Amino acid sequence: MNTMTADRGASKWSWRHRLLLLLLLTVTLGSLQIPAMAQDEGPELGFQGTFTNPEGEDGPTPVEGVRVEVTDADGAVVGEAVSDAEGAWTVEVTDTGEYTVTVDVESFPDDASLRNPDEPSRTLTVNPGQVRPVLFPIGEGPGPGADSGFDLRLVLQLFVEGIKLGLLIAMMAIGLSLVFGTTQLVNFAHGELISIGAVIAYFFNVTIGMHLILAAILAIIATAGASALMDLGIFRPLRKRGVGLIAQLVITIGLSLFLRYGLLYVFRGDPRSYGNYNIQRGIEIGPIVLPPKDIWSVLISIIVLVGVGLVLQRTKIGRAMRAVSDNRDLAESSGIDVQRVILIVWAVGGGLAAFGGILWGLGESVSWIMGFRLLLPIFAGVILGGIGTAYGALVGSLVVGVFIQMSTLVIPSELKNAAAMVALILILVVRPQGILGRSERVG
Amino acid sequence: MDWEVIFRNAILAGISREAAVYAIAAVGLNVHFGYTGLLNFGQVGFMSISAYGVGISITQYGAPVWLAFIIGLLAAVFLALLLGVPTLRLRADYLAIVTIAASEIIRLTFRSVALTDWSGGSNGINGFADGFYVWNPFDPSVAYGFGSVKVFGNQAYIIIVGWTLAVLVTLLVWLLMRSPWGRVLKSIREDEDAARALGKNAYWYKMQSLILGGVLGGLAGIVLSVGQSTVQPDVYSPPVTFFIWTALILGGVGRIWSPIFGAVAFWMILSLANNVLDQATQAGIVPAAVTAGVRGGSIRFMIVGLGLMLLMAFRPQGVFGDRNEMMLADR
Amino acid sequence: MTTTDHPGRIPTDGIEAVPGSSKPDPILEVDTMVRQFGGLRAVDVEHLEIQRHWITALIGPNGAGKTTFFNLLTGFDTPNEGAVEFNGEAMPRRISPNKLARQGMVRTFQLTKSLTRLPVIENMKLGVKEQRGERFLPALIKPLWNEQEESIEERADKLLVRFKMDHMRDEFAGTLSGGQRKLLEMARSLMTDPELVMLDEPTAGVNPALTQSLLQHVTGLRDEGMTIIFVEHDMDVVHEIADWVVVMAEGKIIAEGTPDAISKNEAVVDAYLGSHHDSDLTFDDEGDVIRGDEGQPVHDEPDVVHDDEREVAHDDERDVAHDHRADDAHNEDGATT
Repeated sequence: MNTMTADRGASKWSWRHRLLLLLLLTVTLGSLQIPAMAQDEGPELGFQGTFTNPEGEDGPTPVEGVRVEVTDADGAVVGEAVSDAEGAWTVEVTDTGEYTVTVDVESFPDDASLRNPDEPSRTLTVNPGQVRPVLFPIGEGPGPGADSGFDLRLVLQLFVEGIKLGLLIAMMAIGLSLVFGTTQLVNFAHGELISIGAVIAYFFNVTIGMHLILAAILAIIATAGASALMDLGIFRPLRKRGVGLIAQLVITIGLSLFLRYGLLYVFRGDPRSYGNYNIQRGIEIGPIVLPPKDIWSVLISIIVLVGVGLVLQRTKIGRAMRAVSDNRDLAESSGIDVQRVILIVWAVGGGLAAFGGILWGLGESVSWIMGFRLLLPIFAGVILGGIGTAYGALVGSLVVGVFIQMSTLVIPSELKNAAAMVALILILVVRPQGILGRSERVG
Repeated sequence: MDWEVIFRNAILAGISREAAVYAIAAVGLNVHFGYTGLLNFGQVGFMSISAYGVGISITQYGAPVWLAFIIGLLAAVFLALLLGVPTLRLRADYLAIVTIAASEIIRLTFRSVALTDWSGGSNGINGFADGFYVWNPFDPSVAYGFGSVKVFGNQAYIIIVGWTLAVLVTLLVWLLMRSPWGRVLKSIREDEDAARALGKNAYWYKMQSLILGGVLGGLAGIVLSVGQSTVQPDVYSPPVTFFIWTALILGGVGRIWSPIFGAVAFWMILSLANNVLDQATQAGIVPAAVTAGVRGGSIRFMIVGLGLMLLMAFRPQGVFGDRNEMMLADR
Repeated sequence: MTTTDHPGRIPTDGIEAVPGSSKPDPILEVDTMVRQFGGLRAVDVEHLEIQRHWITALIGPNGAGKTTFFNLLTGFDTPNEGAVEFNGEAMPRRISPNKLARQGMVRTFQLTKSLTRLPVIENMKLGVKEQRGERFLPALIKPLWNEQEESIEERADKLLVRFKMDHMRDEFAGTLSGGQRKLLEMARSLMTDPELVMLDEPTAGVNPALTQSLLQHVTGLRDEGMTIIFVEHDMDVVHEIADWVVVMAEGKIIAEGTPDAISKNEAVVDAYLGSHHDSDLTFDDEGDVIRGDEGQPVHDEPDVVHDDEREVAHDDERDVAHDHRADDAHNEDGATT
């Protein structure tokens, strides 16, 4: 789940690469088998691994020709291997027990090196029937200052990136909260609206060749339309037939699955980048460095959030939305066209999700699974802030964004989203109503 | 189009170990959703935590097979408590969100580089299932079966174990659901506050239900990992939960035998769809580009998603359920 | 009204008709109970005693806080402050409804909570406390609980006959009409062997014929020795069965007394007239409020919390209204939405 935001380290590509490989494997394995259960025809005992440079010229690239040596507990060399064109290597051993696996640092090509050259070896135990995976992270070595333990510059940088992420989450969360507010439905397909928006923008931008800004506008409109169609074509009829909320919730899950793999079908598995604003030199603002697109992303999210707040507070349709959220029956009896309001909520929420998806795709990359990955932090933000409190969702999202980014100070970057979920669960224990929610909603 | 192959594969899919695994996991989901009304969207998390519990305790700590199985199931109990304590007092959606999040956390954690030495990273853990095949009465090199429907010894063994367990847990749930205990669960499904007003500790019963269904999910995960002789993190990814949901709804929510019917039907339908598509592509009826590469695989997920939607919208009682009863559910 | 009085039932003469008056043998005592929603004090009761073996009616205009008060008493909501003594025993401020129910306090709901996909007889059997088969392990072994189950069933069948519902015994509760559901809920609550029965608008939406039989059952319960508190809008009903009336307005108890005394009480009349024009309690008219056909509310039946919400919404305090909504959603369909 590293796709969340601008990763500072090298792991960004490596996990994605692996995930994609697995997903490709998963879905192409086809017929009857549960994904990825093909078994290696390799050795029965030993070690294996793959050298991949996550920062290769064209994304992750395998590193060929790296020598690996395995010695037993007595220091005797029991086997060695050289990584092949896929970067893979295998060493077979004859017996279980403890071995030391050492990488020959000198054998790396010029454009790759061990991320931690001081640790070229691992001592591991081979258990019966086990081919032990061994991982040596590759990439740039630790940067200057990494040894100092606490790096104020890094903390600030992560904080700002967390704010940026939090604002994006808040923007994408609006649709989810509004739909929940007006219909009490938790829409699990909301993440796919994010992906759809980003993918449509990619289509206009890269496939057709429009400028990204124009492409984004069209994509937002198209996604808002698609979102409205979901309400019109699926959920409004379900409401009319009196289908229960839980049934509707399961339907959103089915819809999410359908759309997500529909995106995989048309967009394929590899993450891609937009054609504009792709490579930007970072601007130094005091101690932190941000590319202009990140600064724009922050500004745009703030403008959108303030705009939505104003619409909700000041305009007729905004007041109608709040009225429907407060009390649907009362709103209906006072002459508000509730179904129309709900339709608009879907459209607006879808458009904002698309907007957020495009901004996120600009900062990271566009992929079919991005929305699903973003959905969990969005849920976390909304719940953290307290469901049904508008400002709570904003605060919750900011907290989640900052938490996700800052957590990488202490835990591996690959686990930062997991950490956010754990924090969510902990907060539910202590304060189930969320940060800004009032206590009475819990019975 | 070779219909014999298509149907043979469908039958094999219907009796496959995957179908048995789904049946067991769906029995658990049925306890959750069908009888208690709990929304568990992370059943795969229970499967995975138990499978890893077995794998890790054998490979890392050399535990005997029986102890490893117990540890695996206890891991599911632990997960149920962890998820249930904060959420079971709240609206049902909280459990839904937290379970789906937890299943993803578990997957990410087990596949993380940081824990590679322990859980094997994205490659997972291999070679812990040997102790289980010691009791295999079949010859692994011989194909068993009827006519052209044949499987090899190890497969036959795991299929028989899997389906025996599926039937046993179904009977267990049947025993429970005919009892006053089951009545309390059903009353919570219908209206939690009514149950509480009558003196039932709804929270505690929901917790018991979550634990029971979670342990059944864990059992399913163990059967799967033992059958595959490996536990890999990405086998236990979120869509699996929704596959199991689809199987359950296909069979009919809240009915004793529906998980088994549903799992068999689910895998047969999926196999039919896949094989017909494959055959049609091979025969040139469908252009190869339609199913090329990643596309062939994504189609089946789309079918499941669409199927789940249509079932829930038009036949929420499943194939075997009672429409009238379902219509009474006013939520 | 009744002929076979329970011996413990004392007459109302000599009891002071003022808010918070003391009673000789209270089953329930409430002290300084406050429940705030944002800035609004939905319930603010200084003192209240409920006399044992009486039928006490709790009345008041819309938004008076009756249902909220009920929720506080039965553990479905937690007061910000306040203490309750039940049977002379102090209850903790935060107590779960199931614990109170096991101590002998049972309630029904304004919107009936029949367990729709369980047969009527199973609804009934659920009511019995401390069933052996309700524990996980014994549940697996039928002989351990079968005998008790049979005696429970026998009792349930008798009650169904008494409530004239025996012909619906095996129907799903969801197929019952609104009035029948009210009856079922009352009968089911009796299966818990309660001392104190709290009925939230037992006659709302029930057709007149069924209302009569329902009221007979209520007085019947009193004659068997139970204590009853009920929320009611219909003054005729109050006159017909209540021994004592407690009037709430804006969260406070503004009057207590016998039905006759209350209908002459100026403070009460003021409270009703001074409240919203949509007040549905009148002293001259029939005053019946039939909601929907055959008691089936067409939409969300407006309950007291909703009413509070209206007031608040008028005052433009959106945040508060919002929270009510959430609270509401939880209470009514929260468990499964």
